[in-house]
Order: sequence, then structure tokens, then C-alpha cells
Amino acid sequence: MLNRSTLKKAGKKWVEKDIISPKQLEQILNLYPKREPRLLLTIFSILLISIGFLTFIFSDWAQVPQFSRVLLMVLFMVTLYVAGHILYEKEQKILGITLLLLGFVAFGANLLLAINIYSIILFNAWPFVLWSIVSLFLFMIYEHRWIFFTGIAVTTIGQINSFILYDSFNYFLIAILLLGFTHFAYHRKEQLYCYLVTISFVLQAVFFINVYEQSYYWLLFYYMLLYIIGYILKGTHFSVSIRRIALISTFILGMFQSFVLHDVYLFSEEIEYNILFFTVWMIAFTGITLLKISQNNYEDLAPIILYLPVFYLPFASIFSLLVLFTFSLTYIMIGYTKDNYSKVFYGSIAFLLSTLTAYVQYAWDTLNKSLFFIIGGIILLAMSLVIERQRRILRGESGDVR
Amino acid sequence: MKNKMFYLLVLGQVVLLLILAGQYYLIDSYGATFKIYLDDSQDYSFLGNDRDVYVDYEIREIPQEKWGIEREISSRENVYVKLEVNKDGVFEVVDVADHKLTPYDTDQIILKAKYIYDFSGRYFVEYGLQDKIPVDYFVDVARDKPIVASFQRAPWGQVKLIKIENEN
Repeated sequence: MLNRSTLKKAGKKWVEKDIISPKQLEQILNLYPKREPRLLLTIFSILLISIGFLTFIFSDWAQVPQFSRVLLMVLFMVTLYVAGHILYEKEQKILGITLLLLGFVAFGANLLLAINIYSIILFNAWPFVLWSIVSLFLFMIYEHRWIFFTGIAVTTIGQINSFILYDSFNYFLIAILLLGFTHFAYHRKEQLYCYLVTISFVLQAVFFINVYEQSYYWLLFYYMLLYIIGYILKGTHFSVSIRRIALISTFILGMFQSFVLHDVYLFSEEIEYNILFFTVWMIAFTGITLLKISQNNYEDLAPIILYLPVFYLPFASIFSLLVLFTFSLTYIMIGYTKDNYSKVFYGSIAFLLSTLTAYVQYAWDTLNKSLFFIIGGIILLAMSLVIERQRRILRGESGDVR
Repeated sequence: MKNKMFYLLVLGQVVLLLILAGQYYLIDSYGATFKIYLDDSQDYSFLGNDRDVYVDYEIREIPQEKWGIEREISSRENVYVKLEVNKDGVFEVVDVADHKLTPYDTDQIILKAKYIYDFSGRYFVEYGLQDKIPVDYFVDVARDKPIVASFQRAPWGQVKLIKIENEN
């Protein structure tokens, strides 16, 4: 979507050149909503007050196990909730949601407080499970995007907490994500929800393989599954976000992989032939390839290069870099032939990152450190100039305002 | 409908928090008492800030011969520790397993713990027992004799510190 202020600037030129009348400009501008600066302030105020709650819980006043103090905190939480609800019903939406969210944070803080002062012994992340469930219900009632965002954040942080403190993967949290939040993301047709759900899934997969001590390359399979789901859902609003996030995470994984393969012992990884991985990988990979071929979707074969299990090959580190480069270059090429600006742009960024990865790997050990940074900077500068030039050429061709 | 759901949700949260707080006070009536030693390698006079003393319990350290787990387990994994009362009425570790254990009689209790690490044949676990104790608890305690902590343990697994005293 175009930015309102850039459109306004460009629109003035169009008016001067008599392409459109000032009135038409006004009408066009009205199509683009104004961003309210007040919103940002509200979000910051929520953040600050929440941090305030959470730190207050650990203050001296709150650390004494007295029932009256818990009761006071609970009363405070209820007041926030009820005030938020009433305001929301009176069409004071933003203020209402703010107070509701603060009530939600107060609930989490109260949970923490009770656990802390009564030294409740925890062996898994159940407080986070409860907190996530509450956020899901809150979202069901109000269907507000801030609540969705907060809910996803709490669920994901809960999984991180489960990993760090209990070295376990919490299946309730992933279920809340996959059954609860995904359901709403799918049915409410909001891009933002789809992105949030997918990002949370991608992160939780990382904790999953760590808990079960699977090798890093299992992520390749999980992300491929994600990509396939995105591909099958093609035509729905969910598809773009899933495939985009799946590809971005696989690309980042690919960069990481090339470091791992460069020095396997440093990362204490054992690349062993795993028949289970190879079988499931084979099924998924053949499936998606055949599906694309049967739909005559040849240019779309490019992204699946990223999912090749290069770690089985000799000189795997070089092949892993090759995969990254091939992916970036095909993206750029497809973008040029199809006049697709965004493909060229993303392809160039991918190319830049691949170059950097290769550079860091091969130059860090051999080059003098200051030379390393200087040459790295020059490469970056040159690349950015190239990208900028392409951008201008494309912009000139399409006459688009960006 | 929306109103109803909202008030139900808030009520649910309130009830939950009150249960969490309330169970602490119920431990007194339903719990059973057990005593464990404080780690005697430390002098508890100077540890902690002005108001609290940080303590370690003797049962957190388990010698090799009582560690009943054959396989290698990873850090933060759950283990079950069997304690048995000694002649002085204080509980000490007799067995550790990676599966649920059942107490043989009232002389034994099972505590759930997290394995942390091991070092030259000694295994360290974490029970989540209160380790920051207000100074008031230590007023009548002689630091040069063995110190024991009395806990009350509820059937639902929560544990509450009752007092700190010297071994009788």
C-alpha cells in the first residue's frame, strides 16, 4: 500500500501538471487512512505501564505473603478489566482495549506474584498456558489486533520459558497456537494475524528441535512443510504470508547452515545419515516438485532449491553457499523477466546476504581484521549502489510511485 | 452474550488467583511435616541481604551411590527423589529415579526435582523449595550446630516452610 504522505507529495506535482484537479487529489487521498500518532503513544503507554506492573511485583511491598495484598492486586486487575469493557462498549475503542490489555498484563503479574510469594513449585510452564488461554478468550470477545499480537507474544515467550527453565517443549502452547490462533487468522482474513502465527510457529520449531536434540537440519523439513501448506492454500489470504515467512526462515537457516558445515566441530553437530529424515524429506520434496510441475508452474520451482539437503554432499559448506546464491539469482532473473519489482528487490537482498555469508566465512580467518571490515564495507556499498540503480531503472519503466 | 462471556472470563481469572493464594493457607491443615538439613558447608550468618538469608539444602546434593538413574539425562530434566527419615527424624536422600516413585511407608516421601549438573560423582538437583528466608527465622538458631528446616507438604505437592531450628 502506498504511503499517504508520499502520495500527497506526488499528487501536488500531478495537480501542477494539470493531470488531476485538486479536488480529485483530495478524493484520492481520502482513500488512504491517516496514521494516528495517538495510537503509537497509546502503545508506548501500555508498554510502560505493563513494565511498571511487572517490576512492582518484585518490590518489597509485594513480596510479603499476605492474603490482603493479593486481594488488593486482584481488585486492581478487575477494575482495569471492567473499566476497559465499559469504555469499549461505549465506543471508546482504543482506550477500552488499552485498559483491557493492562488488565490482562495485571493478570499475568498477579500469577507471577502468587507463584513468587507463596513459593509455588513449578515443573512446567503452566502459568503461561493459562495466560495464553486467557488471551485467546479475550480475543474471541473483542477481536482486536492488539490482543491478537499480545496473545501470540505470550504464547511464544511461554515456549521460550519452557525451554530455558524446564528443557521441555510445551504441547499445550503449540496447540493454543495451531488450533486457537491459527483458526482466527484463517477465518478473519487479516494478513497481520497470518504473519504473527507463522512467525510464532517458526520460532517454536527451533525450540522443538533443541528440546528433542534433533539436528538443525530437521528445521529444513519443518519449514518445507510450512512452505507446502502455504502453496496448497494458494489463492487464500493465508498463502502469501506462510510462504514468505517459510522462505525467509529457510534462507536464514541456510546462512546458519553454511556456518555449521564450514566448521562442524565448532557447532558440535553430527551430520549423520538419518533414514527417517531422508524418507520424510524425500516424500515432501517430491510431492511439492511434482505438484508444481503438474501445474506447469516452472518458475515457482526456484524457491524449493533452498530445501535441498546439501549437508549430505562432500564439500557441503560450498554447496550450501551455492544454494543460497542460486536461489537469489533465480529470484532476480525471474523478477526481471516478469517485470516484478519486488522479486528483484528481495532477490538482491538475498544475494547481498549470501555474499556476506560467504565473505565472513572465507575472509574472517585469513584477512587482517581491519582489512576485513573495510573490504566488507566496500562490498556492501557497491551492492547497495547496484540495487539502487536497478530500483531506479525499474521505477522509471513502470512509472510507479514508491 | 459478549457481556456474559467477559464477566465469566474475569471471574475465572479471579477464582484462579484466589485458588493459588488460598492453597497456601490450606497447606497448614492438610499438609504433613518433614524436616531436612541445611547444607552445613556454609555459615549462614553473613549470607544474603539485611532481611533475608539464602540457604542451600543438604538434599540438593546426591552422591553417586544413591543416584539410581543409569542413562545420561539432560540438564533441567525432571527426576523423582526418595527421602527417608533417619534416627533423628530428619529426611535424607535414599534413591533417585527418572520415573514416578511410590513411598514405602510414612517414613518415606517423594519429592519431584530438576536435575542440574553433576560433578565428580556428586549430582545436583533443584527442588524449588524456598531458598530466601527472612532473618527472623534464624533468631534462635545456633550457627555452629546442624540446622534443620521444617516443611509442611500438602497432598497436591505444594510445600511451605514452617521453621528453622537446630537439630534436637
